[in-house]
Amino acid sequence: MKLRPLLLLLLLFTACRHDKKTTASFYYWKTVYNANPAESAYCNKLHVNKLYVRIMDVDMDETGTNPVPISPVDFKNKLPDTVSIIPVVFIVNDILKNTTKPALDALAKKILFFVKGKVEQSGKNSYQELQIDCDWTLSTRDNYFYLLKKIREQTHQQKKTLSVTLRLHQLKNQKRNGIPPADRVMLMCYNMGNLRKYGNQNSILDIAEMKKYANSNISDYHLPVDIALPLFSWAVAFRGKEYIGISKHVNYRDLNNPVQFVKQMGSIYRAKTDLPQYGFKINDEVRWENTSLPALQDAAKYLSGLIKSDTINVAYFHLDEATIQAFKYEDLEKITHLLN
Amino acid sequence: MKTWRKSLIYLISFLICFFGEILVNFACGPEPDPYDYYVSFFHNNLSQIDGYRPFTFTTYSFLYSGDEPINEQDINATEWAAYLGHNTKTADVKRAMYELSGKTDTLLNTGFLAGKHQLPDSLMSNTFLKRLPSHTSAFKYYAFTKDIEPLVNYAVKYWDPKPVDTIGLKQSADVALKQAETTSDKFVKLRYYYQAQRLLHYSAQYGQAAKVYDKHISNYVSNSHVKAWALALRAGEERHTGDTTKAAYLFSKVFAKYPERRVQAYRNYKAIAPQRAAILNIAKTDEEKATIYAIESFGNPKPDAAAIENIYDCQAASPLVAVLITREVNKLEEYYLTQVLTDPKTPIMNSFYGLDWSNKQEGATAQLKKLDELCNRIAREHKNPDYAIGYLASAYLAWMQKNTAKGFYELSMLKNIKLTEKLEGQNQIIKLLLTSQNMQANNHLNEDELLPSLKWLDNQVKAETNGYYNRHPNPDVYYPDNEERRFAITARNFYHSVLAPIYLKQKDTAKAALAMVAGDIPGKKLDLSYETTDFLQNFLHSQAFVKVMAWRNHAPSAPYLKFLTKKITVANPEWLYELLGTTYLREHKYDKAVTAFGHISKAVLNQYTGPDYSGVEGSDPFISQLADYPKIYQDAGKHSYNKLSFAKAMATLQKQMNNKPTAAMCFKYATGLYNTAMHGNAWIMISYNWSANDAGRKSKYYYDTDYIKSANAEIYYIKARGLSKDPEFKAKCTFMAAKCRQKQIYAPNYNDDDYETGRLNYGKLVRQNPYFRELRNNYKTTTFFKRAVNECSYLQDFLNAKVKR
Repeated sequence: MKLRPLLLLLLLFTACRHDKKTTASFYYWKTVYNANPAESAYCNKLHVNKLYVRIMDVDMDETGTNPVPISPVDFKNKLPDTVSIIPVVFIVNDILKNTTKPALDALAKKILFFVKGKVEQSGKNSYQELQIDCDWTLSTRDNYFYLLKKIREQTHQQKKTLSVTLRLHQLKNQKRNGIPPADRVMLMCYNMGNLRKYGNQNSILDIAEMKKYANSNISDYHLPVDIALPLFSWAVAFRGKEYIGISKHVNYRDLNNPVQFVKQMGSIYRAKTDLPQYGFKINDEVRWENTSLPALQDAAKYLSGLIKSDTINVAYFHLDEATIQAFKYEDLEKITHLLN
Repeated sequence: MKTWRKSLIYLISFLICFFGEILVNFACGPEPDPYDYYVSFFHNNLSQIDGYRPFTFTTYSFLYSGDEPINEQDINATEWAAYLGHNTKTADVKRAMYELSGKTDTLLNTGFLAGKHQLPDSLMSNTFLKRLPSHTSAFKYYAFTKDIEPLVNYAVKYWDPKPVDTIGLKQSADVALKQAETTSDKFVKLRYYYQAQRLLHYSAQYGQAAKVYDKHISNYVSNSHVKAWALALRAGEERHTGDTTKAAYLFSKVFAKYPERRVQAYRNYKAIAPQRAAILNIAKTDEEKATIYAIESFGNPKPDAAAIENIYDCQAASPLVAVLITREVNKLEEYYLTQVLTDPKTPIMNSFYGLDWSNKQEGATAQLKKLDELCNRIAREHKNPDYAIGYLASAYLAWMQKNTAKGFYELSMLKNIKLTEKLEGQNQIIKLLLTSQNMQANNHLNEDELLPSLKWLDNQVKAETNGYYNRHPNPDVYYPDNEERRFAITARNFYHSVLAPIYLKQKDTAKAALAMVAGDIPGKKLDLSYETTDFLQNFLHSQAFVKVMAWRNHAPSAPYLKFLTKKITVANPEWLYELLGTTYLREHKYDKAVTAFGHISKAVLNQYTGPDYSGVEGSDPFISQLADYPKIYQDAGKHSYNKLSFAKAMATLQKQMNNKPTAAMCFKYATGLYNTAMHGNAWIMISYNWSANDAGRKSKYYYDTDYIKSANAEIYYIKARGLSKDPEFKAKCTFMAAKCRQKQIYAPNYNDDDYETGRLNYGKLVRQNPYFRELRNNYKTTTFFKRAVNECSYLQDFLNAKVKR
């Protein structure tokens, strides 16, 4: 009985909840950076003080032998003073397939040199974090990790953080997939369902699908986990129930035009006639997939309980006037706080 | 050696062999030739105009060739040479403009162009550069272009994060504009305007670049191709500034007029993918509309006769009609003809393994009919300068559909028409096809009637081959591009896919063999294809081979046969005798085999079998093993056999058995036969290849009775048993006969529909071997029986099943 007060005290200590620190930010995924007043205002309201800016893709050149920067970002304006830059480099998985360590050594240097140049063009003297994005697989894992190791040697010398993106399939089965040699990971919580399968599913964000991969895989992860959440939507087109692509020409309003489309079950629309302006033929079907606020809230709540790190960067994909219009900044603020 | 070290060595050796084999298999896997993957007789270059080669039909790549039909640098250099005159050489212009090394370029820039020094040594005799100082405006322009090179070639430095020097580009564009305004030299004036547009374009000032074009270049009176390059830029500017349909329209204009930018224009058009109705609305003339229909059809891999009809209706005289008719006929060759000509039961292999025939023929007949009607119309109306191709295509389509009379009728319409060399060649090919088809239909191959056409084709092939050797005097191997051997491919397709099958249908394998050899792609020495080699090795009986050898050794007097045997006369006689001897081995005519192998040197013989052969080294065809595996190829101290010594041994046995057969002779003879099977010790005696998948497969070759089934060996094991009184020996004979019988049971293949049922059935049948009953009933007490039971689990199963019952 004497132990009871002690147990109570212990319980009180363990029950103490330290609030995590969450910061909201955006990915900037266009090839030209133009200052956009609406986007800037949105960022200010959400107290965004950093942007994950795609610097370039790295893919093979025309000869298929040398990795080169593809569509590097062109800064038409400087980034605002209040916003710092986190350069992001997307590495096409294939370039890691047939390569050598000396080639990867050279590639690491080239990437850092290029990033530095681009960051300066954004109006910043330097950056604090570099992010590498790659959909690596088992066959490329070793080369990718070697490249990261080489980059990290440099970033550490300069007291910079190296973060990497992590797809859900890379999160699962950590023994097989390994842990990338980086300081943080950004878990990409989107593109999780089967895009090409005909049906009513949402391939952008599906909490049930996410649960299959996440769970203790997040809480047990050996690196601090940040979260990337989607804001975008798209139209997935099918012909004879076979996937034919994502149509960039059609939007939600068009789909609800009764002259052109008839709504089928769920989020599927059928073309009533040939619609060459969208690239559709009669009876083609379109699945409209979007990111809904409740889905984002559910995801945030679910993830909140799993992330152990005390600082979480929440990055929304992506900063684009048309995309962010679908969300009030207060909503995104709430979602960010849900991850506390 | 310690056990663990031994184990490690074994393990590593196993891993190297295992993965090495997989790698070799991957490396050797066939892949289709994108330029020769279907049976074609309709040449793909029949049009009178050049310049559309990249759009020749192939479904294996986006374009037949990614190269522009004409080199832009050549055009520019030609224009400059003509402009400067005074014997300025085009090659010198090209060198100075496009081919200088970095070092020479620097010397030229810092010395000659800066007015300081003479030309660099390597350029002292360059007629273009020597002419420049006396031609001020040209010199100034050339210096300007060298000056802006670093600005416009920025893409080369991929890893330099420095953005495009837009300010430098704009400033240079201003200079170019100023120079254009001040110079009175019309030739360089246009070029300065073009440079201004280009520099603005590269600095992403698309609106301003477009203005330069619209104001200064669009209506500039000149035949220079610079206008084409400026138009291509203008199209790109339109694409960037928003009106993509107009951009596509401008690209279609570049496509139509300027072959040096045709591929680029096509790629851009396809990337924009404009709505057809919208772009046709913009097109001003019928010719422009025809071009748009053509571009769209060039991107269509499926039969598309409608496109030709649209073009013909817009512009009946369009040169694109002939280009597209050829393309459409080639498509039907892939979708329809190749399948029609390929008999699934034919022993002749073909190399068209890249074809996926599922759904290929679907709708092809209707498309064929549609194309035929259209070709008839074009031929009849005489509105197109290439209208003769209509008759040719119709005749060829008729041949495809076995309508020989119609084919001849269409060709007869060409009698009074003067054909181009290419069309005349095609005419002859179609005539040959129709003639042979006619003979086939009448079941009588009038070879003499066929001969002139075959000789004509042979001459074409020779001319083509000689042309190749003239262009490549000492090639390591004869390996021309397909476009350098069109007639050789035609000849191969005719002999392999038309003539040889006709002879096979007539059951004349000897002539089929000659046709296969005659059809092989020529070179300076006889280089037989895999298909022909396979046919000669596996499908010829000795009777046919003797005929072939006779024709080879004594030139036949009949002109046709003399012609057809021409190629086989250059074949290595030792190789042919080796093949002949092997057919005798398969047919058990061992005396004759001895004679045939007598024509071959020991060294050559041992290449195939015997001690030099690395595969089944020193195998002994008379070794008798209770179990087939593991193999003991040779008993210690015994000599190894080659085909000749094997034939001699078997011939002796045959003779002895004819006189007074004994059990031992019959057993040895049976063992000799058994070992020539795929499961035997010396399969190499009767087969040229071996695969684990051969075990229990369906019969494919005439010698499979021995090679797969060991049926003859069974007969002689039973004879041996009948001649013996020794129960141990009899038990052995019975067991060996059981092994032979087991090989006659079909072993299901993974590809079989009912593989699982087949596998169960196979398992049942091998355990119900009738000789097992005889063994149990008659030889149960022998020592051999006990050994056999220990070795053979099937026999054990049979006995156990009986006990249970």
